[in-house]
Amino acid sequence: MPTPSDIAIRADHASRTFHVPVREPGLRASMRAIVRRSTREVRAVQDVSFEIPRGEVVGFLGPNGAGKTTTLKLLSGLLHPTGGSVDVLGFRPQDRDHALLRRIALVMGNRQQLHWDIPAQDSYEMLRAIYDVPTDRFQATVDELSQLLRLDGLLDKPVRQLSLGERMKCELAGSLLHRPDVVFLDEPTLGLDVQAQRRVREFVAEYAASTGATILLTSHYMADIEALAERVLVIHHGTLQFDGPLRELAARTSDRKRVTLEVEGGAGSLRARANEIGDVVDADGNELVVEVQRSELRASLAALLDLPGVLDFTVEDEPIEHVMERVFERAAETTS
Amino acid sequence: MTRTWRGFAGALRANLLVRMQYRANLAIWAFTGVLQVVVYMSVWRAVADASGGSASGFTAAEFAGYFCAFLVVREATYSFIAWHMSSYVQDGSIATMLARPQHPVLVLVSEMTSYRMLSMLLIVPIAGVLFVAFDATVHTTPLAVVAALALLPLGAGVRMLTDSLLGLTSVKFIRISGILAAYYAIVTFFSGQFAPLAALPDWMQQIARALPFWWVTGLPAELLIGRADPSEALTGAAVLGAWLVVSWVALQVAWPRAMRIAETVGG
Amino acid sequence: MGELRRTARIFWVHARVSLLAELQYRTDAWARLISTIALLASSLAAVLIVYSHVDSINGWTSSDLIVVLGSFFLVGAITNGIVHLSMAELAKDIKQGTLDFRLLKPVDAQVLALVQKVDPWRMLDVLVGIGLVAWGMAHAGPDSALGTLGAVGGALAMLLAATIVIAGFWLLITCIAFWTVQGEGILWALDDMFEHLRWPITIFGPALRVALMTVFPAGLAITVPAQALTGRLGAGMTLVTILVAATFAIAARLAWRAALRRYEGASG
Repeated sequence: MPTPSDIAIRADHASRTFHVPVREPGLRASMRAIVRRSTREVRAVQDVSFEIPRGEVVGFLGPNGAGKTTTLKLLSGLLHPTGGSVDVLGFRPQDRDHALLRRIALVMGNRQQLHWDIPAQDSYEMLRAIYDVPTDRFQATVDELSQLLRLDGLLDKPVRQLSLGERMKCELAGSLLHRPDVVFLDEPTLGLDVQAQRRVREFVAEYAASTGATILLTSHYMADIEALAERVLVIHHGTLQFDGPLRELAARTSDRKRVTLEVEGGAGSLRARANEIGDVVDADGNELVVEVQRSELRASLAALLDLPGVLDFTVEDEPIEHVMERVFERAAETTS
Repeated sequence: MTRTWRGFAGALRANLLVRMQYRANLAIWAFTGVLQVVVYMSVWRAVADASGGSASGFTAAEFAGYFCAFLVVREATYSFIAWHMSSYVQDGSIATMLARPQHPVLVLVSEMTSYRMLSMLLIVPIAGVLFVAFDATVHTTPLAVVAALALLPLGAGVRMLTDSLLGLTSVKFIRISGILAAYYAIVTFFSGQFAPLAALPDWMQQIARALPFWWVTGLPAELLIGRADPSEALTGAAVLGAWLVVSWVALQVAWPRAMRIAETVGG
Repeated sequence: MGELRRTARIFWVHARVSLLAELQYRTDAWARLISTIALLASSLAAVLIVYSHVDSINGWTSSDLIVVLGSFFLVGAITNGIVHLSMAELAKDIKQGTLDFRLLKPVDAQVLALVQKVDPWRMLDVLVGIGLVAWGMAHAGPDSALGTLGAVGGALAMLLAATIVIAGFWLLITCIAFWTVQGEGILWALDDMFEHLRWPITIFGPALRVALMTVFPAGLAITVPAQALTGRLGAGMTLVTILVAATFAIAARLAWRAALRRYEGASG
């Protein structure tokens, strides 16, 4: 049973609701809006509870709009919960105590905090002053991060001259200069090419191992989570759907592949035969979409390609939304 | 021609919708114009009082009348096109505009017109309020008023063209805030904005008549308060007409050259 | 004391970053120089034209007006060289969601927001301001109170008060802009309005004078240092200034907190 001081992050029935204004197009509606403004309620996070011990690397997985970023903002103190409570390192994050802020870091994949026009090194200097890091310790950290992320030659060029991948690496380094105990990573590989994504993942893994920091990572890429987290929390429609080891989730979800066939003539006529090979998801016009077991991919694909009129095919992973749906169905089944 | 007009009307409607969203913005910008006029009005009223009742033939009440009239004519003719165009050139969106079937200057004109339509609704009543609040007096005739109003569209056209020409310089100099600052300073003194023409030293009055700006706003303002004879409006129309032609020709010449420079710079 | 030193260090570090960024764009130097010259020339022209009709307005002579211009440039350096720019940056942060980063720094986010951007060229206006003040003082008549030690001390105190008034007012307005989601438009309008205030508010009628002390207190901020320098600063005006400064400082703090709550409510 972990003692309270071993727990880095705790969420206790945390909820967050927004009131979003609704605006309609057109001249008359605009004039009406001057007098009356309508809003609708959005339950971004509902009744989420979990505990994360120090040093653990945890992944938040879920489709876009599931509530991952909102949860992360609740944990970092950018939002206060409209229900329940949140605790990080013994503080209430929404109080934004400076003592806590010195020990956490937030990295957002699609937003940058480094100054655009000047070299990263100069922004780092500014961060050093803000976090009050002693010079020698600071230099050691910069050197270490520079080595891990391969930042040579990048730190003295204006940030706007760097590629997206290079910028992301500099951003990552900049966020860790004060050696935080808790790191929140929000979609850190968003928009990066495959190589850059891999490098970021490698870095995060190494960083976690060498510093013992508690790391929370959100992503809608399964690959991010697979590479980094032993434990995964699945969020969908604002609720926690799964909390457990990744192996368990992986076992449940990645057993299917989706094959899309381009056929001559009507795909509808092939539906019955395709259903004998796998599960037909869609048979519309010239496109036939079939899901098959990963373990039988080779045989199923051969059988599908044998169907008359097949011109072309693609093989993909199941879309994450479908994976989620099946996870939730299974979760519902096991609880009932 | 009908297509151009329809395109213009469509752009106008879209612009109006956008402006309604930013109604508070509009009010604030209208207000800055009001503040400037009120400041100058107060200064000159104080000068009149300190000069024993009147300065350059204007009493405090007559100065107030002049500036209230100026507020209206300024709003009817001024333009932010120079500023907008330079920012479109700077951020590269001029390239997108060039790819559309509407000439960018027409787009800017429609932006300006939609703004003006809404801001006049605010400014004219405010001018009325100021007129009463500052005890203004005017001695004018209906003919003079009509003459003044007739000059305004001409003046607006000239201002929009000179602004467009100025905005074009940003393809060469990129940031033209310095040039714009000098331009607006010149406009302030030589358009009648800072003071009625009679209050300026003679040499400045001569320069003012040689430039287009006083004919755009100063003359209509003086017509509205009855200080200028309606016959001067005919001279004004001729002068503005000439400036209209000159600046239009200049724009036709400068535009393709400027666009070529803009292309070579790229974005 | 340590907190004060740290704040000063944070300010310096931000100013340094701003300076480095601005120096990347060398073409700006010319534009800035021409702008300052245009502003100076038109201000002096205005004074000359007005004083070609009279010798003094409400007791203010042309040399007094030069001192007011000097105050205008000094307060302008603070307003348009630091506060306005920082507020524009704040508005951008809100729009882009990058305010999140600032809120998570172990520094008072409000202080950070006010000093985050410094325009090094605008700081040259300080020199222009001092030059104008010196010129005005040198050309004042023998019985004028210009140039006494008390005057200079009073002026510095009033400049400090002016800074608080400007910072408080600008932050208050920017926070209100959050609620109406109008963005930076309002700030540029305020910037514009400031440029018109090159006259001592005491020559205005009572309604305008009060408006420029309360609703748009930039008028007060520019006038009181000039009043101090020309020996006109009375106890009444001093009291009003302190009151206005305190009011805007408090109002700005409250508005900041409210705006953050609203920012939270809008993000997701």
